[in-house]
Amino acid sequence: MASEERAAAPEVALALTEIDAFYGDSHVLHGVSLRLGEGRLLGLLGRNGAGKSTSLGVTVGLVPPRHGTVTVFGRPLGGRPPEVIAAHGVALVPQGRRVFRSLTVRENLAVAARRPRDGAPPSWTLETVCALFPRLAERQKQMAGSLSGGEQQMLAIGRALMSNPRVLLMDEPSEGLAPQIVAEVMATIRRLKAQGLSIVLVEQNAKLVFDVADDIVILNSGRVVVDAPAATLQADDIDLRQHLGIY
Amino acid sequence: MKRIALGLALVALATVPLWVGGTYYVNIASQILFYAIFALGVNVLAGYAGLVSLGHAGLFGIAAYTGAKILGAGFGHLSVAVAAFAVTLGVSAVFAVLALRGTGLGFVMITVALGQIVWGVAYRWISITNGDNGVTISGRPAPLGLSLASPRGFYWATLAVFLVAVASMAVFVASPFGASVRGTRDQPRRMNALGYNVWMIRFLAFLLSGFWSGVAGLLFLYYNQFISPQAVALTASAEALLMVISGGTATLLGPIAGAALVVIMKNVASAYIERWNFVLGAIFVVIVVFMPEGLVPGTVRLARWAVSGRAP
Amino acid sequence: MSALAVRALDKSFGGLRVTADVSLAVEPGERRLIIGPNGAGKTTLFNLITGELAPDRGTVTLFDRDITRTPSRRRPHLGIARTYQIITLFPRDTLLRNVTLSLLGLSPQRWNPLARLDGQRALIGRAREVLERVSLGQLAERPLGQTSYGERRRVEIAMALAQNPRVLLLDEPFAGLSIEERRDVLRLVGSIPRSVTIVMIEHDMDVALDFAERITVLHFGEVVVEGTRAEVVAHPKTREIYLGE
Repeated sequence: MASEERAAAPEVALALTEIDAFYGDSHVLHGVSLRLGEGRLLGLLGRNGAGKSTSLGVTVGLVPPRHGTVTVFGRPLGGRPPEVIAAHGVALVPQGRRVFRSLTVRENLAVAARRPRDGAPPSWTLETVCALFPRLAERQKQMAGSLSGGEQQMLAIGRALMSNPRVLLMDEPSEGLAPQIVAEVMATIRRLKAQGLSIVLVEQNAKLVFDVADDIVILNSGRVVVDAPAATLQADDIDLRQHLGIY
Repeated sequence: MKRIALGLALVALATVPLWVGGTYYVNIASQILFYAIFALGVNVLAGYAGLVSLGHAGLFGIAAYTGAKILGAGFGHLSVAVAAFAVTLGVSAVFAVLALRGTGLGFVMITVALGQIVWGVAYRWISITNGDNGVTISGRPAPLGLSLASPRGFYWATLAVFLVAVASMAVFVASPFGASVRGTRDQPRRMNALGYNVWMIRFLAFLLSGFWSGVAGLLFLYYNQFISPQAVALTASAEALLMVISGGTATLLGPIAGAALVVIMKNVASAYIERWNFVLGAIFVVIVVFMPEGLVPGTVRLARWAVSGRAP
Repeated sequence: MSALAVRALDKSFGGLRVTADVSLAVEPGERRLIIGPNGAGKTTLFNLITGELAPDRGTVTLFDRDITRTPSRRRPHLGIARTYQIITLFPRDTLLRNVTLSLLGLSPQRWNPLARLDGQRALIGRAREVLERVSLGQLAERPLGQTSYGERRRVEIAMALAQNPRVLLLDEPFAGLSIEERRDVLRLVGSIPRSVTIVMIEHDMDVALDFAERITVLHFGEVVVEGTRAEVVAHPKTREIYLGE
């Protein structure tokens, strides 16, 4: 099913065009544009305060853009409330996981369940999410607040999948996790990508992203400074260090 | 322009007994004045310091009860005043130390508790306070030989005290200390980082607030010749706060306007409208919806709109 | 003698160790930059230096004077001033009144309930001078609510400069500014004399790296790299933190 759709003209799953965003008077995003191709993974990189999370916030409707457009599979949704954008198949795995601590694992997943927009049978159900994350299956009745960091990350991803999204946004999923857990998370991301999900992956850790991304966008102080396929960039390119590290 | 308005207001206030139409209304005017003093006192904390207190009727009442007891023990009116203010300041200090352990909602809750303690003592410590029956006094002071027994005399004395209160408030507001107090309301963390002792500023503001509440309480005692636990109840504190909020916090005129509103509704409107309480409540709702900043600032804003034709 | 020194500073919140055995010394007149990824504990370090937070262990010294136990409200009197990441100015007041309040904080006049604040000519005159220094003199009478974000960022710095600090802590002074505004603030910071020691937290490398003489890199509450710009750039730990290698 997914591969047939990909054989047709590749669609743009998500497009931000000339976005200007403010927090109060603070001008955080300056004319930011990025495109996520269907079934591709876009790595969004940049230092702290560069505007990565704000870009995701604009996409899901938590931050209204003052200028510019947001389209999801061609449909303009910029400035619409978050629940409307979510209903169009955009799901967010937020920074810091933010699982519902007082709910059980099962309840966290059940509460986020949503049928796909086109009425097709859902690919992601409680059963399939638990199949993807066996550790969650074992802990279905456990309170989410008592899970380890890695387990909470799995739960946050599973919760986002339960809404059967067409676009998955992930905000720093590796933050604060031990290296072997990070490897598991990245493996999960690769599997989701292989199943045809369109993904935006925000990270500070460039190496992680370069291993898995098709395209790379780098933000610096609220502006897009690099926008290219990952294959054409090298991880230790001098230019990248200027935007991501100390130089 | 402002001075002319001020002068006219002074003349109007001074001549109230001449034009207001009857001793009943002169008495209403006296009540408005000392409740305005009370509201000004509450405003020091609620408006300028950003600390909402629902226990100030306790300080109002302590001054009145102290006055009543000292008078009943046979002392003169000067001793009464000194004792009442000393006790009120002392109790204010205690209130402040306890309430300032909390911030925001915690502060409010502690002041409620403290006010209720005073009310409880007034209600139950019957041997001292006569409980529900209250304490009656007879006689008003006669400063410089002028009798305050008549409604007119009392009104002019109250007016004099009111004018002193307003003047001292104006001086406080314009002073460096007044600016410090307002600073702790707007940005307490920043004030601390700038070298101000935020706790001490709030403590002193509390004392100032308590002092004027006590002055109002003593005037209340002399006006009514009577003090009972009802004047110390939570509803009395709430009423004072409503006067401040409805009139406009952090202004000088606001608490005065709010006091006038509540006193007039309570006394005058209640004669004509049976459900005056409901009307008062409705007025508060209207104020909150259309003039959330209070009657006085709201009226100024609407007047400017009417004059300039621009959006309010 | 260092202008500002912290030794073995430690702070935990519940189980989370936010500041882990941090030691650093800033020399008089130095321009120090503190950087590090999210959650590195940079602002917490500032809060420990200004005394808004009390450390679990360790000391803070200002020109060799131990101020670890000095209450935070006394530290500005000793010569430490700071700006905040989120602008914390007095919104109902004019720019002039904002800076006057800053000057008043160190003056015994702040307790005076009788004089008129607007009549304190010396104080207000000095406030005007400070506003001139940050190129906002012509906006002195403007209410803060009617100024732009860039202008407010400069008022933040003015508030700190007004107190004639010996050590100035700037917490992300360039956050949310446009390119021109960044240049203005950089020029302003560059014009501060060497009698003031400056420690800055920043993410914007393009402006901050030029400013810094020495750089301290924090990660998970610890000092991981410290040195000149060249030393920090070359250090493998820096590449690991920022580029994930």
